Amino acid sequence: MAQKENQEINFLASDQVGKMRAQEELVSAAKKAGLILLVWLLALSAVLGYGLVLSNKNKSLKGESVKLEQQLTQLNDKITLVLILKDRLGKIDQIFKNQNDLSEPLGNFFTSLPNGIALTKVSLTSKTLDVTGTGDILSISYLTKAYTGRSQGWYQGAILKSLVKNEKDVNFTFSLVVEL
Amino acid sequence: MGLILLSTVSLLRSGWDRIGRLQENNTKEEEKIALLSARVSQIESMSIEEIEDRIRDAVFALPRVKDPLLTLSSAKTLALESNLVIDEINFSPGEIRKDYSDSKKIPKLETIAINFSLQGLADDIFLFTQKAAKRSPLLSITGVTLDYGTAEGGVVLAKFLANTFFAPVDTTGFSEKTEITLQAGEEALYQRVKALEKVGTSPIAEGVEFVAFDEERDPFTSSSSTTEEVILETGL
Repeated sequence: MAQKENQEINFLASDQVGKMRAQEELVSAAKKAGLILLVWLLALSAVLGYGLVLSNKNKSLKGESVKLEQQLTQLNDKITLVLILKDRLGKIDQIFKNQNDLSEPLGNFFTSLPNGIALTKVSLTSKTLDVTGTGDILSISYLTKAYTGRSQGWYQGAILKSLVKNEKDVNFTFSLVVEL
Repeated sequence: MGLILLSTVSLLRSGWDRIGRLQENNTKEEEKIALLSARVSQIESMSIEEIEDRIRDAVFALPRVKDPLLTLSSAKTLALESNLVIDEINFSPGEIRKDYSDSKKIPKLETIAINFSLQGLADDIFLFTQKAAKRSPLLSITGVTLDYGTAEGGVVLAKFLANTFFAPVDTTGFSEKTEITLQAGEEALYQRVKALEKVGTSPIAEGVEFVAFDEERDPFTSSSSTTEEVILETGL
């Protein structure tokens, strides 16, 4: 009898353990499901929320951009004037870059001209300085000496094209080409 | 469960794509705003009067249109200032066009050749050559011939070949990315232009009423023969 009672108690105990186990599993499953739901919600809200933040930022940036464009439109006359000035200066720069100041070689030539030379013709371009004139041989020699030494920077070279003794006097007629 | 998972993945994916697009757009928009803000502050930092003054200086140096009057008055003043007698001034302006706004041609820098025959002392001719490079409107001397043989009393006959310039305004090169303030190089260039001495009657202004025998603009009337007056006339 006592043995039979014991068996019944064991049966009841094992049923309760099973129930408890089932309950624990349910709680654990609910926790897992809750966690998954939380992660799902977090991920979804993070993506959608960040998208919303960016969208709002985009709207405000576009608004700012439109405002600045309107401001620029109002300043359009001023912009056109500045661009006209820049265009003009660009073209003036082209002129300056191609401009040769012929006063420099002309001045240098006159500086090195000795007193005994009477010039007949001086032709100056940006490439050459052609000089013809007459003078005594010493003066011509002094003149040519100025071009036979080391280049003074304003000319590349010089050629005495002709040196002819005049028939009527003691002077010579010369033709000098200075390469610039 | 599968449906929920699928819709979640699809929602996340589209949300992620949208974020990418928005980030890209925002970056572009921020760059645009930075550019626009810089432009606005650049323009606002300059006064319209200052820009107009600078344009006046630049247009005097390089006129927009072919202006024979300006060229002649400038050449005449330069010669007189250098104590030279003018034998002849000739130039051929060629096609005269108001501007190129209706033309298909791209406006560019154009050159007008001008020849002077002058008489004077060699030193004064040298002075003329020196001054020409420092004058506005720009005059570039390309050749000089001095003839010592024909004149007397130390007077030299001089022939000058020179170029004067004009250029219509070219707006084709303007773009959104063009800097709208003067860069350091342009500022230095402007200062160089400003330092040039203005000689000659003022350039033709648009919409100005024509005045026949206008003594202020005619370089060959007696009242405009002195240098001081011509310089004063420019008023710039």
